[in-house]
Amino acid sequence: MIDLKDVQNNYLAIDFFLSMSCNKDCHYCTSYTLEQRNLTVDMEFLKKTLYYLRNYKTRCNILGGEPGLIKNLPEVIEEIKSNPNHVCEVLSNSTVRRRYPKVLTDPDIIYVEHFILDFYEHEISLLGPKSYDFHDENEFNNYNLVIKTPNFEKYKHLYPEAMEKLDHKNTLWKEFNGRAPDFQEIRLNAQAAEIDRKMCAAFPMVPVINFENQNLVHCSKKFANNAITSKEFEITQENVDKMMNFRLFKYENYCVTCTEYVQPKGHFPLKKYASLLNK
Amino acid sequence: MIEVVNNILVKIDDEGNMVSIDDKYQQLYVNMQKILGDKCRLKYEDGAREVEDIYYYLVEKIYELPAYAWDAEFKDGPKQKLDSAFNKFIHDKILWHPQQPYWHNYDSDARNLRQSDGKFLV
Repeated sequence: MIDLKDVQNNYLAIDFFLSMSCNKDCHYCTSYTLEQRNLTVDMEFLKKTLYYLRNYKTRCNILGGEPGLIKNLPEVIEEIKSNPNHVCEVLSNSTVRRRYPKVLTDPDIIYVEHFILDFYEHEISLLGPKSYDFHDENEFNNYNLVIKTPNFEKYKHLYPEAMEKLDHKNTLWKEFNGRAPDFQEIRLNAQAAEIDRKMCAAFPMVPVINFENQNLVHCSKKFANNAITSKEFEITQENVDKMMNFRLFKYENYCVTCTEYVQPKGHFPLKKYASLLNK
Repeated sequence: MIEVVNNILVKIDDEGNMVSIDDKYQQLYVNMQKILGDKCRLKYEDGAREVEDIYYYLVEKIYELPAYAWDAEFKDGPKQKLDSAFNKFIHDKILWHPQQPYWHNYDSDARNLRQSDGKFLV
């Protein structure tokens, strides 16, 4: 069974944007289109990409768009899982829970369901069908991902029961970042220090394999933002080797103004860099 | 030139005088010794060598946040690269871009403050 801590400490994460199509229009997200397109993954391209990554401990995050809309998702997951160096993670708005429930019962897949959790005065707005509640504590690697939106910060004290349900090891908390409009009442996270942004640029929180254009993209945040296109690279063995050894990506112009949250104690802990560079 | 005297970094100026170096660099030196062990050596030529960005960033991060240097073991290869990056960082910051006393910049600052018509901005 996969140990999330081990994956977080020893693996580099790459986003697999299988398709940009989604069935929701979450206010904080710019990484989607409601147009339904590219819903079948090109398996040849996937196999080629995974082959280039074969020697690296990689956490392959399947998202987009909404992976639950992908017609051959089980095949994609099996292909990723076939290499012991690769861990498969699925990030869904709960469509996967409805359409591919087997994903949730496989402890070798990290399944993360994200909740907007916009706490208003009169209700909690959940992403996905209302019939689904939060994941309870479990050993199947199913996680709630809660995004701390401005409304969450403002109204969370009004919902102690919901907060109690989320208070366990299978809840991941995500800081609200600079992609959203400027909310004046809530203090957004200040821009990370330059050195942290430089370290992030060398290997971003998540670079992207874009399955629509079949290329490698520097940074998921800028890529999803659409305001400035993130730098693109051809997928070749040479580029993948450089990327996984922190030699492909540079501190770009858009990193200068980036407001994505980076932990002040470091983009990755030194221990993780040591573990990756020692290989 | 930068030297280590009694395990303390000192700068030797053109006239051979020992000039003290900021405590933050001393802390960096101590932390790099902790990480690199006997691989931590100060070599002038290493300050000029090209190093991989990621190693330079790691040194800079340890300089900015000394607590970052905690519980990490590097193998010999990465240790050597980290040592080169440390040397480059130290030489880059202290020797090649030394902080001048404020009066060194007085003339240029005064010029910058003046508009083209001769009036001062502030």
